[in-house]
Amino acid sequence: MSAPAPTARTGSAPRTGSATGTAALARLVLRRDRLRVPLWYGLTALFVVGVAAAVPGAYPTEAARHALVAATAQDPTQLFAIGPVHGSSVGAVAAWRPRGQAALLLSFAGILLVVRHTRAEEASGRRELLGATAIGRQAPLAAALAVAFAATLLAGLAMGAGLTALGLPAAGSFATGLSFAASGCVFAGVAAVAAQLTESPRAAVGLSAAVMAACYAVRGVADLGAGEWLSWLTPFGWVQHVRPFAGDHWWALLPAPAACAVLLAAAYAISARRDLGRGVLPSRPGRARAGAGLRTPAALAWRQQRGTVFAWTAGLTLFGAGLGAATPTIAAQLAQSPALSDLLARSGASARPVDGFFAFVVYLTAQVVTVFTVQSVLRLRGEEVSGRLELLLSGPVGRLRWALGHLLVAAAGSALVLAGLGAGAGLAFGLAAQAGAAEVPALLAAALVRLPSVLAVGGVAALLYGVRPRWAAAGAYTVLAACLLLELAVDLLGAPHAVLVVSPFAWTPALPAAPFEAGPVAALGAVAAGLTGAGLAALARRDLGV
Amino acid sequence: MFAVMSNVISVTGLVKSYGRTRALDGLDLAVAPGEVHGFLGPNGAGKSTAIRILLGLLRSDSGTATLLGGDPWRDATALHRRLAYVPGDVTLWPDLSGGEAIDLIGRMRGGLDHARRDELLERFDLDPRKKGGAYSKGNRQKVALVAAFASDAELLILDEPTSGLDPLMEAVFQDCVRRERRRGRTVLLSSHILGEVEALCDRVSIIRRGRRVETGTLADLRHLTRTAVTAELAGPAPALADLAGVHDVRVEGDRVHCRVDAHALDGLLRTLADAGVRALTSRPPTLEELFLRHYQDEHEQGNGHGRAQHAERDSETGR
Repeated sequence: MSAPAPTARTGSAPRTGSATGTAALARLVLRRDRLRVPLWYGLTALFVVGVAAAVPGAYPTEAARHALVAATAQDPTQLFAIGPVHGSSVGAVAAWRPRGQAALLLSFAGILLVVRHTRAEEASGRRELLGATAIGRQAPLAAALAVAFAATLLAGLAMGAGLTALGLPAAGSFATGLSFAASGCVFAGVAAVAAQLTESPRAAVGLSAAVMAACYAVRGVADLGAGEWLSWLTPFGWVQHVRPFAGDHWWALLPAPAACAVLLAAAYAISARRDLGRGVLPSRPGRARAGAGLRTPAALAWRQQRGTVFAWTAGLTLFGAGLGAATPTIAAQLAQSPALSDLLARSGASARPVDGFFAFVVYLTAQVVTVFTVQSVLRLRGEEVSGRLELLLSGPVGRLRWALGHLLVAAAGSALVLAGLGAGAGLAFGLAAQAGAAEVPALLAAALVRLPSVLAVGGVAALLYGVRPRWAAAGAYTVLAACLLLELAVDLLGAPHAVLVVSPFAWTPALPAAPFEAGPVAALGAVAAGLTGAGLAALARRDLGV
Repeated sequence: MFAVMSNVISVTGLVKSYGRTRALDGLDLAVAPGEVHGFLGPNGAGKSTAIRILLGLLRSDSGTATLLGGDPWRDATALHRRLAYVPGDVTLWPDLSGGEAIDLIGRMRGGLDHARRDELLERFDLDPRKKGGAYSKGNRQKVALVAAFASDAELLILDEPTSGLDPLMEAVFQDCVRRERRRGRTVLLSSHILGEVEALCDRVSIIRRGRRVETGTLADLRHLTRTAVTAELAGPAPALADLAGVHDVRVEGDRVHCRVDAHALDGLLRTLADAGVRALTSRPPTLEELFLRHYQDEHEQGNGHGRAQHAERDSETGR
């Protein structure tokens, strides 16, 4: 105890605080994401400006836009998916059409960026390497948030500049862009908190995305007539209450900085107290011996993915139930919906309007479920990159048997998630309409008939994983995004409905509004199987782990 | 010379390139049944690439590799029933406990010895209930080691298996390898820990830049290198530098230092005796010197250039 303390270097030592090194780390974030950030945020801005540029062509006259406003107000599908149009000017329509997608894209980009540079760095052990250098405890979090906020706000400003350049009033243009950016910043904050709570980056993304989806669903239900106060509870409601080009209510954005401040304070407080690598949610000790079932690659794949499968199933069952419960109250509006009568006319069926509504919602939701499917297929890549695959395949496990285990879980999990959607919607709708469980079989079928289309996109991921593993994630999500954009092209650019034929989602018969057709469903199943088979064939020949 | 015994691992002229990098450049390797074979080389020499080819994870560009009498790529699944592998950097499934991971790997290989599993957990002092993500590097390594040693595999492929283990656990590891050898198993041990190699290996192969530069027993390899001799002489130092096989002669007063090839030792001693020896020390080359000579790049070696060539020539003639 009497030993002299080591003399500290004084005088020239720089001031060190918990945020020391933030600037250097922010540069590191930018260096690692030099392609990712400009692509995500740049393309989102481009998307908003592109939609706005197409509006005058799609709705050339005041009368046409007025008709759109009136029709949307009567159309629950549009009210649920995007919300009401505030005004019939070109700007108001341009701010309305991309509202949902742009806000969701910026939010999800923020979630991925923040988790990628905080919890994922910790879980990989790289954070430890940096933690030993002269950087503050809060610096990694601060750096990730700084880049996320800056990129989001820049994207918002770029949207504003783009819309202004199209000749729209500047105030409304920037109100549009910055309202989308506001939701992006809030969910970057949500991700910052989630990254403190969970130990695995996947769980942090899942938790943040679940909060985002719930916020979006609350906004949708509020716009279906459940009460405007409800939409003030969600960032997507604030976005919509700004009413760009129709009053520019900037004050509607005030809750966003307040929410960010609260979320950041919470994230910093937790981060200052917890150990590196640990979360707040407890991780229980495991079993000393493996259960009897854990002996095959498929069992291992299920064990690894079951948490995600259950979370998605629970989420979509709740989503379906909320939708089903709200449907009877809007049945009257549905009868007059032009979009639905259009859909019903196209499908050539004389179904109930509610059936058309369900068909449309299931059609949209199937594309969301595809995100699960693609993620599940991409587990293959995750296992290979992490090095776990090497240990597994050093046992007598063929690589095809291993891959089939994960693909089986991806397919069965997708079926389970879709079944949850259908069953939840059917049960809640039946109960609300006092029909008991009578609606369940029809809606279950409507959801499950989408499975082959979902698996077809999953097949693209499997094919790319076999052939070009590095491109698998980007390629599969590009295909999914292209399907969504095609929809937009038909809507706005007046592209013929025939172009949708390349989208697997449009191939599927629109149950329960349209009758079941075996042909397209079988064809989609064959496409999914063919793509997956080709991917497996390539996997059998290539090197692993490089 | 081992070819007649039907080797457990037999590799000839193996080539593997990644783009323009040639990771393996005509590698030869022979591992006889029942031996512990040290697999050495500097970082990036191609050891892990060779092991991955043997495991059927990578496909070689050319050359042949035979493992337990089969083709490592084509017969991977069947061969893997008979081998156990420990990577140098074990990653575990974050949501599986160590015990579950051990059982899973064992069951996939066709069962493991439960008594031995429990004994090994005890000896390695490993808590099997912790989740994969919560283990330290050393403990992750132990999970893979327990899974491998609890198996009934004929061949153990260990790629720097003790990185992260403390000295006590290193001793347990060496015990386990010796026990495997007594049971007649074959071990391919890639390692940088020279003490471990010296204690365990019957034969070693040293590779550099994707080629084998030396192979044999440690005694064989020692024989190829030079003994350091220091003598205190009664008279003036003779002209040692002119003797064939004598190198690095340095004279300090009545002391001479030199290094001498094994075959030239006789001649050197005779010359020194003629000059009158008052004191003599000779030191066999340490293992470290032996390896350093092979690890060092010839371009960095300066005046050792000739020696590196000498080594290459020896290994050529040894084949």
